[in-house]
Amino acid sequence: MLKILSEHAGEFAGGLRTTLVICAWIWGLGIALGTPLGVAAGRYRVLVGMPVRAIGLGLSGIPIIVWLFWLHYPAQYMLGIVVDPKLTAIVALSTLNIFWVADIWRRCYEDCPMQYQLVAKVSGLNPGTIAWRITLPLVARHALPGILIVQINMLHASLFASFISVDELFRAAQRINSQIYKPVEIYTALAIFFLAVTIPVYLVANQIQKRFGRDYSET
Amino acid sequence: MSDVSLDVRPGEVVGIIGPSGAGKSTLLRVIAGIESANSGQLNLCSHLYDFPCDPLRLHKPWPKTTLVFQSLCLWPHLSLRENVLMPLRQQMDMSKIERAEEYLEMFQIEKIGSRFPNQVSGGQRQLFALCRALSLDPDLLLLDEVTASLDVEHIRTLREVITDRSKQGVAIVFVSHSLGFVRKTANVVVFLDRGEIHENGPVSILSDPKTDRLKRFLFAADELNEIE
Ligand SMILES: Nc1ncnc2c1ncn2[C@@H]1O[C@H](COP(=O)(O)OP(=O)(O)OP(=O)(O)O)[C@@H](O)[C@H]1O
Ligand SMILES: [Mg+2]
Repeated sequence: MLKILSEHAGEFAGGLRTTLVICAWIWGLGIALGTPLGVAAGRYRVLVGMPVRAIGLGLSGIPIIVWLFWLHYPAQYMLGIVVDPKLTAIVALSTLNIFWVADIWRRCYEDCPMQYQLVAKVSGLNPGTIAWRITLPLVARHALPGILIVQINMLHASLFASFISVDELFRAAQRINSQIYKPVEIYTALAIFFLAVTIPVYLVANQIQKRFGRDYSET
Repeated sequence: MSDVSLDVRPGEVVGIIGPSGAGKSTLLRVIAGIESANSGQLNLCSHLYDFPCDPLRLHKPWPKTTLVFQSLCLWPHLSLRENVLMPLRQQMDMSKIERAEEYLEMFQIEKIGSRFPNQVSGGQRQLFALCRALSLDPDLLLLDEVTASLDVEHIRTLREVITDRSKQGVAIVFVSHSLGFVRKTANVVVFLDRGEIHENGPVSILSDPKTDRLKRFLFAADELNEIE
């Protein structure tokens, strides 16, 4: 074990560096784009909130590996392009991160008791001050733990992407492909299968949350 | 609520009384312009609002009209002093900030201003919420359950402040379950039950009620006094 590690130290260091670069992009993009998207989704619940929920649901329904895989091979095959695996990993995981972060913000915005905004309003605070000094700090308190967990998952996923998926999974896909020669169908069917399993679970969880997570504010 | 009509002039102090769930808080929220009614009109400082309307799209009457909520709603992430001063900082009016400090001293809560709302007693929270509204120097001040958790000395200070403000032309509408406080502080008393005004008029209606409903309500209060 140690021998393997020392013999391939350079490759491991390279892998780690790749991971950290990928991860930095994913974290940066996810938080920089996910936060405004989630805030917009919390404010404009139908116009922005619904699409964010729908896309988030779709993305959560597909395991990261399948999503990564799908973007690597079938998607590029269908579009007739070849993209650097690192870039694919960044695109795949950043998309997930953006919508997951956005969904956490959206949920926390919807749970934020209205009373604090109301009292800010009758105290004559302008909408900008209310958003920055009242709503954001109250919402961030609840959003941060969830966002942190997602970032840790993203780190795991990018480790995974740089060590395994980029080369190994790509080869595995090629192998399966050379045997069956229907990559689009294989991975699309897989994605649909996972979606079909996940959506009912998501809906039940949503019902439970609606039942117990309603707004407790009194004014 | 139905058929509620109320006229408040500058300098007038209106005390609303009535059983729990009568709609006192709801009435204050409608007057404050943060809740809409199904029908009717609200004339607030020469602005006319026609109900039903989306309260958010109204011409904004705040903070010239302001409300102390029954649940106080101090911002939990800000210190108590910051709760009072933040709305004033935005107005960039130094004199109001000085007034705010005076109010804090008047109610003897200036020393605990650096604490957070969950680090003081219910009565102290109420005083800070009161100071937040008073410092805004409103023309119409709405106070929900204004005496709820205050001791007798603070209630006396509060009465002095209310009297002083009304002399300066501020219209004040408050809700209180303390009939003694209402009798001593208000010019006009409104008795509300099940969303309707059963009786209103000068303070004398508390000693000489016309309607049976108010008579029964006051009878319960007299019983309490005898127990005391
Ligand atoms: N958010 C709400 N949704 C539905 N009904 C409500 C809500 N808030 C209050 N009500 C109902 O409206 C009526 C009036 O409530 P309101 O809070 O105005 O009473 P109140 O006179 O202030 O009572 P209290 O003395 O207990 O504060 C009550 O019957 C109450 O059950
Ligand atoms: Mg009430």
